[in-house]
Amino acid sequence: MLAVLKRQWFIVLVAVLLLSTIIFYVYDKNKDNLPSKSVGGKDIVFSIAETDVSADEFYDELYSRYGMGAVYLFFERAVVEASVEDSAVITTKAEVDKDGVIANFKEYYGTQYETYLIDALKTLGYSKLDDLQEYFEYVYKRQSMMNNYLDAQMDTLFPGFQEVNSPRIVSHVLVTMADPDAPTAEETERFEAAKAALAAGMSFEDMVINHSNDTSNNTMKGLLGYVDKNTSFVPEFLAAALALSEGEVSDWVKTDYGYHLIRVDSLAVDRLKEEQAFYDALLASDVALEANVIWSKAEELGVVINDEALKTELLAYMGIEE
Amino acid sequence: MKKLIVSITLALVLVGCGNQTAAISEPNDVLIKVGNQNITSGQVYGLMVSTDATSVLKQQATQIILNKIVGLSDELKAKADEELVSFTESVGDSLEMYLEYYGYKDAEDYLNNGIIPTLQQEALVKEYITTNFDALVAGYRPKMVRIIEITDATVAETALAELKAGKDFSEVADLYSTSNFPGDEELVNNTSSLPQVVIDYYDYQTTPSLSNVLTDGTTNFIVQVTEADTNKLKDEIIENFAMDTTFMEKTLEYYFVENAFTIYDKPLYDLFVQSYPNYLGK
Repeated sequence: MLAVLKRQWFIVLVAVLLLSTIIFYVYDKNKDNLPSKSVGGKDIVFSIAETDVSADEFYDELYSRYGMGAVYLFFERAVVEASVEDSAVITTKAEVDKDGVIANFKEYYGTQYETYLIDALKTLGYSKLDDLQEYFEYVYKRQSMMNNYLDAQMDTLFPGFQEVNSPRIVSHVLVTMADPDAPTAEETERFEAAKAALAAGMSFEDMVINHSNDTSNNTMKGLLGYVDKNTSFVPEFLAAALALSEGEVSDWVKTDYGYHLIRVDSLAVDRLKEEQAFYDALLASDVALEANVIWSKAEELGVVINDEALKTELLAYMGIEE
Repeated sequence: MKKLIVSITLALVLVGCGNQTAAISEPNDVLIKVGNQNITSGQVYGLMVSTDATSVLKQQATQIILNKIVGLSDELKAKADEELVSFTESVGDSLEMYLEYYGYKDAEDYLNNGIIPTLQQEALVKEYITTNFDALVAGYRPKMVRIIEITDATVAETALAELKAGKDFSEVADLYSTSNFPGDEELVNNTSSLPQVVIDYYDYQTTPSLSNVLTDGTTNFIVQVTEADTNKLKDEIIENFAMDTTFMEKTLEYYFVENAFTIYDKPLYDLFVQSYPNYLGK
C-alpha cells in the first residue's frame, strides 16, 4: 500500500484535494439549511414550547386577517383575464409602463433593484420579474373592461353624473407671474400685450400660440383636458371653469400662477369619452360601481363558488348585497 | 472505493435539500372558478405569506407562550371582563365603530383576542422582570428623580441656592421651571427620553442627591435623586418596566429562545430573521 502511494503520489494528492473540495462544498451549502418537519403528514411552519403549528393552521390564522383581500385580488384578476382578450395595444402600453418601473427601481435601488421589485410583485400575487409585464397587461385589461361597461351603461349613468359633477373639456391661456399681486415690469408688459391682442379680436388658439406661457400644454393648443368639480385646480380657476358654457371663454382669471383665459371646449359625452380621466371620475363617483362591474362580469362568465360561506364573505367584502 | 463515491454523490445530490417551503395540505383545492380560471388555496396562501406573515407568525407563537406560561386564571378572566365593561361604558354607542376600527368582529372577539392577550402579556413581562430583577436594575439603574428646567442660567443658580437652603422642590419648580418639567417625582432609567446631561447626572447616583445646575448648551436643569435603592422601588420598577416596550420585547425574546422557537419554512425564516433576529437567538 505504501509503495503504491509512493508511486502514485500525484494522483493521491489530486484525489485528496478533490475530496476536500467536495466535502467543503457540501458543508458550505448545507450549513445555513433549515431542517424541515412534518407531523402526521402535515408540513410544520414553526414550533415553540413543544407545540407544532402546521402550514394548514398557519393558513387559517393568515386567512382570518388577510384571506378575503387575497381571494378578491385573484378573483378580480380571473374575471378580468377571462373577460378581455390580449391585444397589441395593451401589450405595448404595458411594456412602456414595465420599462418605466424597472428604470425607476434601478435608479432608486441600484444593483439590488430586482430583489425589491420581486418583493413588490409578490404582494400582488406574482412571483418573478417577468410577471411585471403580465401585471401591467392586467391593469390595462381591467381599465378596458371597466370602460366597456361604462360605455354600455352611459345613457343611464351620465345624466346624474353630469348634474352632480359638471364634467367638461377645458383649455386655457396662461400669462405667468411669480407674484400676481406684485408683477414685474416684464410680466406686466406681457400681460398688457395679451390683453391688447384679445381686445383686438385674436382667436383663443392664436392667444395660446402667441401669449400663453404654460409650456406643459402650449403644443396641445392650451388643452388641459378633463375637468369636473373634483379636479384639483386652484379654487378661482375651477370656479371659473365650471361656470362656463360650451365654447365660452372666460374673462381674465387671476390665480397664484398669473392670469388665465379659460375656455370650455366641450360638454358632450362623446368628447368626454376620449379622456380616460372621465371614465376614472365616473367610477370614483360611485363606490359600489367597480365591485358591481366585477361581479356582473363574473356572473356572465359563470362563477362557481361551492362554499356558500365563502361566497357570502366575498360579496360582503365587495359591498354587494346578495 | 465504491461506497466512497456513492456517499459523495449522495451528499452532492442532497445539497440544499433542507431548505424547503412548508406547504398546506390541499394547495390545489379550488376555491372559486371563473370561466376557465381557477383560484386555489395554494395561490391564496402564497399571497398571504408575502403580505405580512412574519408579524402573524410572531403573534401566533407569542400566544402559544402566553397560554402555556400565563394561562387564563379566573382572576385574569375577571379582570378582562372588568376592562371590557369599562371600555364599553366609555365608548357608549360608538362601540361597534371602535371595534370595527380596531379590527374586531364583536365584543367577544375584542375580549378574547385583544384584552386577554394584553393582560397575559403584561403578566408575562412582570414575571420576567421579577425573575431577572437584579440583572435588569444593574443594567438600567432605575431611580426616582425630580427635574426642573430653567432657561436662564442666572435664575437656575438662584433656584439651586433656594433648594440648598431647604426650600421645597415643588415650590421652586412652580416658581421657576418650564412647563416641560413641573418637578414631579418620576421613575426613570438610563434609557428614558430625557436630555443626556440629565441622564449622565443621575445614572450612577446610588443615594439621594441634588445636582448642580446642568446645562446642555441651550437650557439648564437641576436634578434631585429622591430614591436610588431599587429594593425600595421594586413594585414601582416592575410596574414601570412592564409598560415599557423595551422590556416587552426582551421578555418575548427570552421566552422564544427558552422555548426552542424554530421555523421550518426557509422563506419565512429568512424574512423573520431580518425583522426579529433576537427571537431566534441570532
